[in-house]
Amino acid sequence: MSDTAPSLDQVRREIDEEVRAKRASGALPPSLERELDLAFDKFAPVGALDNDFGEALKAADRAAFVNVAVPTASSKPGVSFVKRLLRKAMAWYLNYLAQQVTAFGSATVRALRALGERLGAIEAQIGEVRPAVDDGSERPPVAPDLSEWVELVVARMNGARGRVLHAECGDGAMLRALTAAGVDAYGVDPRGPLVDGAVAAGGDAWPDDPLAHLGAVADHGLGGLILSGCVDRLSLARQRSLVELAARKLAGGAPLVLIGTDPRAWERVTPALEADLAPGRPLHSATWQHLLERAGFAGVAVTDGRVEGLERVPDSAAGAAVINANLDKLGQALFGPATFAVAAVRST
Amino acid sequence: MSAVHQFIPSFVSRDAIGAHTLQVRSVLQEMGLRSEVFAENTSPDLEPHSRPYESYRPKPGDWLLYQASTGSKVAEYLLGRPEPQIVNYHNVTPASTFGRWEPRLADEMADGRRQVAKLASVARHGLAVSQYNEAELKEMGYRSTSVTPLLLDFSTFDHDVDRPTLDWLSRLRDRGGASILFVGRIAPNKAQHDLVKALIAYRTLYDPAARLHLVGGASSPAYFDALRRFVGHTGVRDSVDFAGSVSDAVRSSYFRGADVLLCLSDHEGFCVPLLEAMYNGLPIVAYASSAIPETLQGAGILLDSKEPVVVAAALHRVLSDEALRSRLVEAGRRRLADFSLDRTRRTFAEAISAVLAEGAG
Amino acid sequence: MKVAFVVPRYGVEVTGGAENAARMLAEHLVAEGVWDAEVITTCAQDAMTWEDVYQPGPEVVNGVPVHRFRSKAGRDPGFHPYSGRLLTSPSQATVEEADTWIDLQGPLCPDVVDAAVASDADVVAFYPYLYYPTVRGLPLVGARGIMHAAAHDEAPIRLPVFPSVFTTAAGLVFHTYGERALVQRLFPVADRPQIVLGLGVDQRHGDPTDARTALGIGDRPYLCCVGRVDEQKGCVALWRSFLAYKERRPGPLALVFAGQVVDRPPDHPDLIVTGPVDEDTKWGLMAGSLGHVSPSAMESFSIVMIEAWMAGVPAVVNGRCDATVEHCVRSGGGLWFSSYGELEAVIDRLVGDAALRARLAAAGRHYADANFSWPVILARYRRFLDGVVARAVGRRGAT
Repeated sequence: MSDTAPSLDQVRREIDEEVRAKRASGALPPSLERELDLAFDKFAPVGALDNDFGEALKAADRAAFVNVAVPTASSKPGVSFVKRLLRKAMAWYLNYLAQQVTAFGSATVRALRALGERLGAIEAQIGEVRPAVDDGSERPPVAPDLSEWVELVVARMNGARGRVLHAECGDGAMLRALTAAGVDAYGVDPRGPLVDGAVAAGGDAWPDDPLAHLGAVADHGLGGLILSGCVDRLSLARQRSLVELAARKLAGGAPLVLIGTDPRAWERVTPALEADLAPGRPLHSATWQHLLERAGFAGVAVTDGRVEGLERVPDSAAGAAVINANLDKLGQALFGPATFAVAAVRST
Repeated sequence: MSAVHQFIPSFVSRDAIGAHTLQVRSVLQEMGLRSEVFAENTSPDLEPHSRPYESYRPKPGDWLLYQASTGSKVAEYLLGRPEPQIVNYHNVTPASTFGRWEPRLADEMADGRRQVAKLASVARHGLAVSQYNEAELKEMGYRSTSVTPLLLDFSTFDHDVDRPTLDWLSRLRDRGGASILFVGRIAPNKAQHDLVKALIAYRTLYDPAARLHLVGGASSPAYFDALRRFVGHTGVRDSVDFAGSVSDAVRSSYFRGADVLLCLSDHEGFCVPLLEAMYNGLPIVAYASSAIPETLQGAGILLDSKEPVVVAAALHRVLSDEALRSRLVEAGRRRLADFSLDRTRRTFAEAISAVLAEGAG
Repeated sequence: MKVAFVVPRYGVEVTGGAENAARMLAEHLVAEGVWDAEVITTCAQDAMTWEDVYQPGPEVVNGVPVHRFRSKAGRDPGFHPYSGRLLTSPSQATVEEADTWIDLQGPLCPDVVDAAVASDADVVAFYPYLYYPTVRGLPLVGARGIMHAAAHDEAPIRLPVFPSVFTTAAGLVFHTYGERALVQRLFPVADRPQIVLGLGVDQRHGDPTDARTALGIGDRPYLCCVGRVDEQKGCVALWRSFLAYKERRPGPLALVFAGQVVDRPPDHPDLIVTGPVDEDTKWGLMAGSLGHVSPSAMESFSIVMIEAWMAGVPAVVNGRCDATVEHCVRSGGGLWFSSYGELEAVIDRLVGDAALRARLAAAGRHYADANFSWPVILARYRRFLDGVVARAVGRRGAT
């Protein structure tokens, strides 16, 4: 097969070329392609009834409108005429009734919809276990230092097909590095002041909650995703939904990098206010690895960050080599790396 | 002597999985294993080869092999069995493709997937007919898996043709215009409506006399109904041939009489008609979804897009470039050799031996 | 680089939020000279009928090349009854019904769509989401098509034709963060390139004394409300509340309505109705007031409110209007009311606390200058367009 494969690629390129030429020549009217798509949808059923509240509501909505145009066709001679006459004679009465019934129906559906929205909101809150949602306002607008991960992130995201999202992007330092490398990157962070700074520095950043934002992205719409910050503080339920959302919103083959804080280092490196008020706690890299693999990510790999060790003695000191080697070991044992990066690829 | 018994929801002779099940039985028996087929439903001609699944009586050393392609009572039954099990996975069509068309069928499919996933906890091994299916098994939590292609006897492709059909097709050919063929059940996941769109584009751009032949019965009445109305609405009623469910002879005639096989399915776990086309020397244009790229392995034009213009341009290329056409046909023949019964039976036997050895050890 | 604006109507005589916004942007872009701009539109002037009024063909309006095409049909007489029924439950409509709704609404102008497709512009910008040219044209221009949606939380946006329109756009331009939030709630577009641009405002200076003289206000203290005097704009509710306020707080304070009168306020010594005024008078009127009131609950941006801040006075807005409240929250330059009680408290504070007035005015002024002065708007918009072009080129290269 190997001898035909490259030449088939060539054929495919020629076909693309042909398509471009045909489109440019106007041989296929531009509207026809769209009409074809719409024409089939026209005949598709609107959606079957099941336990879905939205569908049930739609059905109620549909039934709320009362039509007074009674069908008058009949197979019996004369009957059709009589029906029409009756319809005409009763129109004033029926219209009056129908208006009231329609109004009642519409009001009921509106009330139901409002109820449904309130229920949805309550369900969302219960799902989080903790009612408090982190809107960033309680956190000091201090951007995290992700500089040690820039190289890894840029390498992973380079060549991403489609836009790359960084949540949370902080002051946009990572976005700037990505943009400089030619990646179409943008970011979100719930902390408004940080976002303002990122925008002022030329970044495409938005003051959005990461989960809410991901929810509003088209399925398989993202070309790449970087998660940091939020991953350490969200409640367990939201950490899980973050992973599920990431899997749903990334295109097949798209890269993901998750930068997390090691739980053992969390207390040490996080400002007290932020640590105490966080709804959740950071997860170990192995846990993220497990969650990502289960959610449909492949090639999941963990990279440990720098260890901030103990101060070494000058090399000139007596026995420096032995002492420093032991200091390094001690530092490793005492502190371990503060952060880690989990890189993965959305399976196709 | 130990035994590997097969369990299958529907044991039907003209179905690829039914034929596979018969082949598997003969492989197992050749290996010196006892092997019987237990089914929920059986077509009359296979009655002598099958027993109702409730009649299974366990013996020490028995293994159970489940042919999984749909939701079934058989799977529920197996979930309660203590014997070591193997799942031979042929893929269950994702419910999402049927959802808005046939909610009841979609529920069944969703159940089917749930069952296969549940079986992960009791099954010792998952045999998948393609790497695509194997990936799904792994996703469902199967720890031990391998790929063993469908066991297909190509001689079953080789039928006497149905003369009237072939004559009709050649008369059409004499009048000009290409014959584009698709073989498969009429169902949303097979996306016949995209075939119609492509036909319209191809007729508009290249060949106003081109025709589409859709061979296969309807799995979804709602989809079939919409498809027919769509064909009427777009004014190509006379150019789309709904052949329906046909005899093997008529099916063969279509493969012989057509100019190209076009497949724009959104989901195929393996796609036997591609091999049938290769067998009959028919070039293939296909949309690169699910297991199709794997089954084709370069023996056809693979498209990343279903846009009608793109498909039309690809059809035009294949139908107007004689050198390309023969190259594709040649590539098809070579690809077909990978699926020769000798090879696939050997692969299957090796996989089963390995699983049994593992189980014994 | 060139951007083509596709709008359902265009011209100096056209008074509509979105259309006016497009004209201002086009004129300032052309004047700035970095990007070229052209306009593709119908011959219509009136959004109720879409009747052909202007001559078809090319024309230059305030320096901007405009290409006008005849419509095949304007607003169909059957539109309103049809629409009434359909919009009772818009999400229930079929795509076919919604398509019909778009056609009946008008302007039905395939020539505008074809011209948009044929245009050699690097970016094709459609205004607003609601009409035929956008719905039919945007899907056909590919990666160079962006949309200034001007979306409102209204029934039509739930018609099933619009998801594909919003998700097709290669870029989305919003007036406010509120509009962006609405669109993200309705359509999966959060990852699309987008910008909250707002509208540019030309600052002018008017003399307060001249305005007082010209409008016969004398030396009374007053609040002003500039814009169409219309119940739909909240004016009726405003004057009722204001008259109630005056009964409880007798004094010299007046309320001045300046703008075209649709619903006439009652004759009352504390209500001054001037009718339309020229620009100098308008700016003078605003600068001399204690504050500018925007009673409308339906504004999508409210240029006049930004103008009032540029004129150096605080803003008072309807608390039910997301867009104007958003301006107040982000700027710290205004107060809002959702009931008579709140309005009374707001007026009391504004009238009685000069230091508060000065603080609100300064904050509003800073916000308006930093976000909505033309050089800022143009620079941000051009940067956004550059991004759209870069992506379109990238995508073409990738196929």
